[in-house]
Amino acid sequence: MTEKQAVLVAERLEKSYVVGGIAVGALRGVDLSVAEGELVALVGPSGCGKTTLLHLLGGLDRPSGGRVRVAGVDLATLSDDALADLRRERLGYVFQTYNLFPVLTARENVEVPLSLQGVGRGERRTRALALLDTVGLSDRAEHRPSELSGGERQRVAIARALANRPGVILLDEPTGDLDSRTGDEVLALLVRLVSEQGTTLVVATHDAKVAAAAGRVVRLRDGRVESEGPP
Amino acid sequence: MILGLAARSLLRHRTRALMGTLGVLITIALLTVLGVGLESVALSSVELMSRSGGKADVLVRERKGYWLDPPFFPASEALAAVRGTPGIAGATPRIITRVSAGGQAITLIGLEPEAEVAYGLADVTPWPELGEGKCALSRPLSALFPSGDVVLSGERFPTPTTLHCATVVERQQLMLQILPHFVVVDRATAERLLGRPGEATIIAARFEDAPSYYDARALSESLGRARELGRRVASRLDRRLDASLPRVATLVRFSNVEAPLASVFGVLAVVTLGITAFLLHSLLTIGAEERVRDHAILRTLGGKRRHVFGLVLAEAAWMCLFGVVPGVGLGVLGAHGVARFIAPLFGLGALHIPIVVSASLLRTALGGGVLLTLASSLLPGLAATRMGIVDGLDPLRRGGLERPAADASPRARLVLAGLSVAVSSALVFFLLPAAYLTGDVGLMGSAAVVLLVVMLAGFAFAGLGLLPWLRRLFARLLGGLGETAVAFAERNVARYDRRYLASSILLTVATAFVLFAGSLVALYDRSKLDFLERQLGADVRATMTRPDKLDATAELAALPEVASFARVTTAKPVSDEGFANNVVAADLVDSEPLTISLYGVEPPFFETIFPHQIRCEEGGPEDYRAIATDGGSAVAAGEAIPAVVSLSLARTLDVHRGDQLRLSLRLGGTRGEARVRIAAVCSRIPSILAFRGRVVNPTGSGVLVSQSSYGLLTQAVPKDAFLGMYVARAASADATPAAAAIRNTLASTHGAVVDSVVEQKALAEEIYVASQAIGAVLLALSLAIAAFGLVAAMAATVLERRFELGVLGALGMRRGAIFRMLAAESLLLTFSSSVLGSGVGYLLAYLFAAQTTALYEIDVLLAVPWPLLGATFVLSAFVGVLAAWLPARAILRRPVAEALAA
Repeated sequence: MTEKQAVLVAERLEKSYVVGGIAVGALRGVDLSVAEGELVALVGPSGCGKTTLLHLLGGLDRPSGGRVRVAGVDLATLSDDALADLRRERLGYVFQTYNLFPVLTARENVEVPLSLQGVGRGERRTRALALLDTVGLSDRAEHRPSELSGGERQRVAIARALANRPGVILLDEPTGDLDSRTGDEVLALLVRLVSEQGTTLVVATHDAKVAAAAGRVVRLRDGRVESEGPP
Repeated sequence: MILGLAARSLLRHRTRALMGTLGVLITIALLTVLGVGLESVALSSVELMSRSGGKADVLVRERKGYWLDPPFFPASEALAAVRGTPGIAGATPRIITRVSAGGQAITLIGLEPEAEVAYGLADVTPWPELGEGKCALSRPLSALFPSGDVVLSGERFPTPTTLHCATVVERQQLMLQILPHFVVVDRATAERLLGRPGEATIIAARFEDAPSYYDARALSESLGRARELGRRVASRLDRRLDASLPRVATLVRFSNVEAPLASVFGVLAVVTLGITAFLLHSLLTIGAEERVRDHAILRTLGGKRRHVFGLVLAEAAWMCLFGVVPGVGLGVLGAHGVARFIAPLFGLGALHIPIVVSASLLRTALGGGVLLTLASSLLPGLAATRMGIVDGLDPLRRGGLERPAADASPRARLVLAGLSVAVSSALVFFLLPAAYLTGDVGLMGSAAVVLLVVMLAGFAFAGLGLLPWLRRLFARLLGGLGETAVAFAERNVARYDRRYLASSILLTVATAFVLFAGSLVALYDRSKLDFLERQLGADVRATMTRPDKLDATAELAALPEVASFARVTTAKPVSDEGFANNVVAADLVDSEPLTISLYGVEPPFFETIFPHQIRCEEGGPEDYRAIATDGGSAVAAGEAIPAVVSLSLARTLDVHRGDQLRLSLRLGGTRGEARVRIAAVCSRIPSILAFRGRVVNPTGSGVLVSQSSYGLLTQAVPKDAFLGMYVARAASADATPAAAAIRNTLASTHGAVVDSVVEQKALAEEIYVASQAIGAVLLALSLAIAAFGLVAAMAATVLERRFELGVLGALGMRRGAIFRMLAAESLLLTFSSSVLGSGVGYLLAYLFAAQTTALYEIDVLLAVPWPLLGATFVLSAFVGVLAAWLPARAILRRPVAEALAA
């Protein structure tokens, strides 16, 4: 796979935290390249740096060393606002704990990125309902997160991630809080997204089923890539 | 979207939103009541006050003479000059003079009815029917002449004349109201009766578009235009005539009272808006901390920092919107309520103050809301935007990330604090000299307010440093709530120190503000009670206003209510004739001449005034009493006259008891010389404020000699230059009857203004009680606003500790004990802040009172507003329990398992 074809590239990526006055390295020189339409699973034990890597790939945090390119753009060169624009237009996120706005309904949650994009009220509503229909939640559109099950919440989060038709979606343990059956449903939805829409997915997961469904598995240990290859 | 999200977030935390909205609502309502009230009262008062000056805008009269009996002058030339002045709508001559009716001294008023009506000058109610042989009598005078026929006589009358009363007049505003007995005739009748054809004593004139010269909304500017027009009239008159502006003079006196009130309102508005902004700031900070995850999600989805700031700003805007709009409405209703229901309770029901709500007031209220929104959301909003996305998403790792740029970033708080102190100091630095040089009271007040605010902040912050110590102290005092409960409470207060700090500052500032106001009133009032004795000098003081009627010895001697009395005489620096009249004292080598105030007193003076108010640095009672009994023999013999001198004079001239002074008495071109021997040096002689101690401004220091000597020394002084007063001691312990008797005897005949210590003290007491009541209302409102912050902070921390409270329950802690723990927590906050706020407020008030009264050499008596202080602590306890009960009630009702699952 060449860099020209890659939508997501990490080069010698490093990240360290200061905990109790001591610097702890979460990532220690990670190289990773993800091609368009690929489904990559990041696996490894807790604390190996999966979530940190997702944060850096998504421009949620700045690396201590190395660089990240998204669609050829070096994130280090972007201002704070330009980074926000990139997140809104090219990237989508799905979290283990869903991170929905508890005060908004499912539809309104999906509308948030559209609103930030400046989409008009009517179109926002139509597109949000269509996305909820895509994830099978058209009948739950006016419910708040507290009125939805875990699987439903995660599907709302996926619909929200898809709202601005991003090229890449980053998922952090998307099935981690779900029971086995619901997890399977969410997984099937993700696989469908890749096959039907050509969306690139990077999934940090402990779930063997998710890893098995990926095109490539990147195994992390102690902040380094231990191995990568087919599942 | 941002507005909607903010609104939903607020609705999710209803208690907090309600607290904030109520805080804004109460503040805006209070300020609207006061603002609308002040503006309405100002408008009504300007109307009322300008009317009390009569309807004439300009009065022309001869410069010389007593104002109740002015001299006659030829009317036609002056009338033409006034009428010919651009801006004058019309003018009419009047005759006002003193005559007799049935042996009673009365005032004769001669008017030109047609001109008075035509120019809108007529101010006699009901308007009388005048003509040949007819007159109108005032209601009191008509009672003396039941037949309706009145016989007028007097030294100016060629022959006594009988007139028939056609109208009884209820009210006039042509001259002072203290003259109840008057007769109104037409001018032709008056001229004929008095034998003064073509003459008048007064010319009354009216401005074109007169109301525009008395506009309450721009009083200073409009009065300035009135003065300018008055000057134009005066410049056209003969030099023997003066033009005065009675309505302008009345309004200037009113504005001297109204302007400080407006300033006080301004300070109150700033302080209350500041407290409310702090409340909102505290609530928004808590909200921003809680919603840090929401903000991070928003930014994950592509939202920018400004969107996060917008969220915080929108929350503030919603609370302000829902507070300001009904607050203004409530305030206007409140103002109507005060005018309708409260004013009558204070005997002001007859005023019928129409409530005026101006557009500018509404704009100010809305502007206040916008200002509140911006001021309160600025820091929490900025803090929210600074939070990293990963920090926000994962609370467990929050703050754990390295911050390489932290050391290099500016320390915003330090910069802000430093700039605040520097700007405030610079402001005072530039204001004070300008205020001193220009004598501008407004500038001085502004400088004082800035200094006060800086002092308040300084003391408050120093005090906040002491808070942990105060909390430890109160933790011991609250031991009765249970050892475990108090121990937990103490730890939790320390744990949430940063969040509670905002509530503590809010409570401290609110208490300090109210205690400052209450203590200031208490200190001034108590000190004033003492100062009243010094100012009035004796049980009763009668100040004589008519130079031709200074002697009332015979009348006072006839009053059984008066035990003793003494006359005090001095002279004006310039007589009505325009002759300079001054007395200069110097030591015998004439090294440092000093202009002084010379007084003559009658022998019983020192037995009549309050002895405990006399303060003599050199010489005793036998010395100063001796000077009053000096019969003037020293003057006659050309020897040194015994005198009591002011300490300020003695210090300036460096003279002492037993030394001699040379007095040079100058009256126009004539000059007299005398020597005085200092019998005593005093810094305080009650009733004569020229006795003082400071050498900063010694000009006008008092020198006291006997009335006999004074009379001999001032023989060349014209009668119209003298000022006189009587001090009197009442025959009974209650001086009220004596004051009433003197007032009845001297007020109308001698134009005496009678004051008594007992009446003035009663008035001061009334003001004190009223001000304490106002202070209590302010306290309740301020504490309510501050309590909202505490309730919100407690609600947030209790919610966060649901799990811990569940654990305590699982370990066997009873609900009552858990509530006591939470109550102890909030009581520690309220009590410590109340003590701190009370201390800071009282200290500031004492410093302020001591500083301002020191200028007048008045001692400040220690006075503590005990009712207010008591109310502060009762309310603090109530607020403390309420702040714990509101969040605890829901959580404590639920099963322990539910709390453990939180």
